[in-house]
Amino acid sequence: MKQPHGRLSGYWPPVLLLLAVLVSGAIILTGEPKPLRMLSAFWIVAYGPGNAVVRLLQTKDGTINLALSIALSLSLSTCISLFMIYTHTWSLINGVICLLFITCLASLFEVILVRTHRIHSPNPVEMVES
Amino acid sequence: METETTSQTKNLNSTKVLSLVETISFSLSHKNELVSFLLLIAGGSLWFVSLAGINLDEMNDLGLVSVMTPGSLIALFLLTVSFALTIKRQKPVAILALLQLAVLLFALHSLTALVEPLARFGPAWRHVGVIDYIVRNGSVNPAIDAYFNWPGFFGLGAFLTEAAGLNNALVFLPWTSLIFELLYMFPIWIIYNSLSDDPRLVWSGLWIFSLSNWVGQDYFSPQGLNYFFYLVVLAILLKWFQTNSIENFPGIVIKILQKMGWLYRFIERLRVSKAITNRTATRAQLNLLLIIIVVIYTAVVGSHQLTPFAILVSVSALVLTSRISPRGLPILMLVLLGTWISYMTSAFMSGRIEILLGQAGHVDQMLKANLVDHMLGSQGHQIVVLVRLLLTSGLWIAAFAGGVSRWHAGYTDTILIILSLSPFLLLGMQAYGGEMLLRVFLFSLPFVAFLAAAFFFQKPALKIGWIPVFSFGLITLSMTFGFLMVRFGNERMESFTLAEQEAVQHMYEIAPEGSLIASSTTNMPYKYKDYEKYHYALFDAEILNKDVNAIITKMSDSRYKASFLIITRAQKAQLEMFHSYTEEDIASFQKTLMATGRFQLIYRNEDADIYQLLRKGTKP
Repeated sequence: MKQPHGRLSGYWPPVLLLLAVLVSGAIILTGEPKPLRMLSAFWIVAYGPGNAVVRLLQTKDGTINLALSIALSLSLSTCISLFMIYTHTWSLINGVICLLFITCLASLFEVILVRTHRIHSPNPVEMVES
Repeated sequence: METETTSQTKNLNSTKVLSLVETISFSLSHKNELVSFLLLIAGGSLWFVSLAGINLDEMNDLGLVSVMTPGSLIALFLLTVSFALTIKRQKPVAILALLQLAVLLFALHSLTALVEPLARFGPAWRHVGVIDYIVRNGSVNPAIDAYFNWPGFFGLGAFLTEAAGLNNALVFLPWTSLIFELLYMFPIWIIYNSLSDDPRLVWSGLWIFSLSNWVGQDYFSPQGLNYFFYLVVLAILLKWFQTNSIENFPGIVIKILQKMGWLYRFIERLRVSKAITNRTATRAQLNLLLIIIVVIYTAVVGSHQLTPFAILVSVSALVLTSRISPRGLPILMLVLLGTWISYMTSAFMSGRIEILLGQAGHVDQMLKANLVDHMLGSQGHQIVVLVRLLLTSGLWIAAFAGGVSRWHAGYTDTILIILSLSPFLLLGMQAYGGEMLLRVFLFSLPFVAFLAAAFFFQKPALKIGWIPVFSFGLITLSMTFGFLMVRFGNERMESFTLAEQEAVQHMYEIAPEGSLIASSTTNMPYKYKDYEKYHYALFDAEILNKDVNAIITKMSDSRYKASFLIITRAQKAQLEMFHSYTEEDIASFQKTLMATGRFQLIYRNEDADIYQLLRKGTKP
């Protein structure tokens, strides 16, 4: 309870990201109207899961965050698609669940790190340039 | 209460006035930026307005540049002047430079999407067909063609298409080029910033890269996406894993080198750059970054034939010269690559391995396929090829001069030199359909562009004169016009009309499954659906030689339920541009075809003819 405000503010970003990805997954799987579904598809395939993982790096540079998030999300989606193709388990639901699982895992890990003061502490562990 | 509100309003007004005064004073003290911003607005608006004047029907063999209006060229001039003014300052206003770069990319890469009635480039349509196959079947058939042995990009496309609730992936085609180009900017920005602390040089490098990337691999394709991955892998390695100490060499090597004082000092100079600062991160962060690289590389290995080799070669070169710390990375990459090729592509590789490996090391054949064969064709096409060569060689000369002047200024750009040259090792592999030289150029481009920018701005200087800014503006302006010519030089054959697509659609409606669809070239909006249900053949050599009998023999194969030959405007354009075939030649070929009595013209519109081969004994 030493820094409740600081810790709470540390919880919000991963939780919000997770919620956004979950909502996108729900929109995709329930077949919502096209413009919204298209945005959700790009969010979940090309940004969300990667961002959940890249957040663990604690970089403060927006460009780096964006580039790595997009690259990692697209790579993860590609690897999952390849896995589904070669294991004959291709389905939209499987793919979306895999991406949601990765996002949940990374977000949960970030929450644990915040809780144990390993990140978002007064002296955050970050990319140091000396 | 009322007095309080009045006082608040007065305060608000005075704040507004103050902020306005601040804005005006900022604008006056940043006169260049204000002029630059106004020029950007003027250039961008003029660009949009001038698009309406483009008439594609009048396009000749010089490509899109032949129908561009003076307005659009003036717009590009304004944009170039605008950027040149911005980089006059040692630390350019980032948001302004970013806007200028975005407008430049939008102007260059949205052009075809805005003026052409259909998505351009036949292979992009074909890729939609592979995605359609995966959506329908949820699997791949490695026996069909190479795409099905490296299906990563197509799997991703299929997943995105399904997730977005689309019927097919055609909707992605027109804007992919712009999106990829914008994406490339992020990792290149990271790379440049890890090699230099001069913002002017970084922005100029990005500008030159954008104007030099005329290769056109940023369409809806595996290589377009994988180029982004290639850049991201190198960005991570250079940002976080760069080492700049000779102490990384094995102890015995250092001892030997130290005995040879001058050599030690030379290598030390090669290894340490003034501009590079040492980046450190925690072990956990570095491990996570390595995991990210492995995930990205796995996706690359399963998506494209060439890019994994390009990454492997570049990373190995950096490791061998001790420029990055993760020494085991190339081995891990090699294992991943070898596993994929051995197990996942075995069906495709068996029987082809000799053909693929047979080209290795034959540099003469490589140069012929990559260079000489491209220099043939109509006069307009030859001019385009010549400008391509001029732009490319000009860029490399500027890069060389930039590297030399940076050396004299005290910088050592060993990493840039390594990454510029290492892709050339790919030339030893195979001709890659006559495109290997283009790909080598593409993989080395970010580093060459940076060195070329250094030709103008060797080191950070608080004040620079108008001469380097003026020369940068002048040369990049000519590069802009050159870009339009070389990038869209083949546009007459790479763009499609609605009539051509109608003809293709009609063909799919009438052709029973198992039919042969033959054409002279692949420049056609086809194969975007039912990829596996038809046979396809190209009769370029037969049509050029007017060898109708050979065509009849091949089309008469009993495997085919029916056989169709489609000749479209874009195909004719390719024959004219690449083989100096005239309209009369094509008309005479079509006459000969009909004279055999074996063909029936079953469809005709202003841009396409479809012929059906009549089985023996059938009357037209």
